[in-house]
Amino acid sequence: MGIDKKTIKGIANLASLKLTPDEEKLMEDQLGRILDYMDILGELNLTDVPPTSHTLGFTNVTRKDKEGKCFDVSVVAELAPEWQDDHVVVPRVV
Amino acid sequence: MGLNDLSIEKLRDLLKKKEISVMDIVRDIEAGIAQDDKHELPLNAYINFDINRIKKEAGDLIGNSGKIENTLLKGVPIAIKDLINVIHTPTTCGSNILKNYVSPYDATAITLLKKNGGVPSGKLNMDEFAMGSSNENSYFGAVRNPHDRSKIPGGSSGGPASAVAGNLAVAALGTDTGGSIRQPASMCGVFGIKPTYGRVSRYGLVAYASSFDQIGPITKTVMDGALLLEAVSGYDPKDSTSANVETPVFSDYVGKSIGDLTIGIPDEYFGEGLDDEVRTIVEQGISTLKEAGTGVKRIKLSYTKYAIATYYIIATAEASSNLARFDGIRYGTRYVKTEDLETLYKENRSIGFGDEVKRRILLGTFTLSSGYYDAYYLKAQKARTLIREDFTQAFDEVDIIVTPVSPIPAWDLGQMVDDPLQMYLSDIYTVPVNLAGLPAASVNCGKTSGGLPVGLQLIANHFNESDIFRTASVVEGKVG
Repeated sequence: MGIDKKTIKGIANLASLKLTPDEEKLMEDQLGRILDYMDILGELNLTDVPPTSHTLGFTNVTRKDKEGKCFDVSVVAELAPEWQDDHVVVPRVV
Repeated sequence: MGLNDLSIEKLRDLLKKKEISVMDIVRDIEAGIAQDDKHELPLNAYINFDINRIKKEAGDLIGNSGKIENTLLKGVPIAIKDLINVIHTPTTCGSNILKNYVSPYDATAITLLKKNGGVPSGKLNMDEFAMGSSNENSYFGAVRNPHDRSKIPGGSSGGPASAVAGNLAVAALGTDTGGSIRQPASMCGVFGIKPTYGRVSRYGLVAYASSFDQIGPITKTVMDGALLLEAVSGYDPKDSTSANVETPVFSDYVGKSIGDLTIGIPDEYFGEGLDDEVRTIVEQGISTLKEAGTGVKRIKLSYTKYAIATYYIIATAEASSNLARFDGIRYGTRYVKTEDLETLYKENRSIGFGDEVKRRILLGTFTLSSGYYDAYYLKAQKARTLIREDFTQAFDEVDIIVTPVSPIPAWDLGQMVDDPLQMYLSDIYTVPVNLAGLPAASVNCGKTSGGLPVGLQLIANHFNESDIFRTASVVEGKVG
């Protein structure tokens, strides 16, 4: 199955991406071809096959809940595109 | 000939005898890069090479360890693919969205590298967020192949492979998610090994597809690959997928007999689509191993033809989740001033990401979205189980599986950029290894009539990298 423009618009919205009309057309063509190719998995009988969660079978890996070092506020401030009074500046949320 | 032309093994010796200093090597590398920059078609292998920063790293290393001559790497400079964090240096991931990001910490692989006497020396070009097979997807421009500058170097570790092959680095750390160490190593005629998933910590490696990503060496020789992998391997509690296993002395296995090994030749890797010259060169490599005393068995890896679809569904799903963090809020570049948060996210990500990254995020978002999850993602995770079991059965019969790395040698720059599916299909021989979490290497096996290198892929069972090193050194001994 391919993919239509409406679905492309929907997933772009979910992925927080803004596409131009040209990009939408290109993605419709390219993703359509890629998804058509992926239909090859339909040939497999996967009814009783368990999905892989880890190639080596590791599960429930934990470590001690110990206090560690964290970055100094000044380090974090330097990384932020906008910073004011020990806070990252963002557009109004509420 | 400069010190940049030498191997880790030779430089270690010269450093130990105090005939040269770390900075002598770094200066020769810098001169090599400057000379290459004057070339009509520069390799463009580096994104950042800051000699003052490297000098500081070297000074710290010598000052802190006191006995650098007792370390494994003795001060040899190692170039780093630009998605592994090195403190106080930019980590751009080849992306516009991180072009101004300077890392505040070292990845665990870098901490171990330094502990073992390696000096991080420059950040290497790559496909944006490691997404690509040709190194044409970098915001910082395409990388060229030193064997023929009109060709791609392979990807996504095109910078590391091109720099090592072109003597602009002694050795490098790359990463391999679907073949990104092995394929460029093959196309540039150098050695590259993707270790077993979990052998090297991923802490501080910017994630593309977390269930596949592994850091590994790209080097001039097999011995160098063994030394560098030894230096960066080891259990790390900061990475919950890190394996708590001993690190063997890999260098002890280089040059050792392979008479006790049986190699497996899977029919599925020698079928339609394999270039005739590549086939001939790979068959010569297999003959070399036979002459060295290995047993040979034909084997079946029946689910190989499903590997590309399986890989690209899972990898893009993981990427769509991993790359959600890049939004221009806490770090990275903020391109727009707006009072609306959603607009800020969308504008930043749309300006910051390149086409291939957007394509993979959209694909992954689609296959994970409501109504399509079972049809794509779940199906792919089940197919992954079958591909893994294929290998498990094969390793009941053989020790090393031998295949081509890429069905074709390095292609022309620009040849496949408009056809992403065609580019994905070129990964057919490398992605099954990542789906199964196995270790695998590319060792140079010869050149085509056009002078392009062809690698031989050696795949071993989990944590059996030692067998890969002894097998690779036999091929290297024959090809030179």
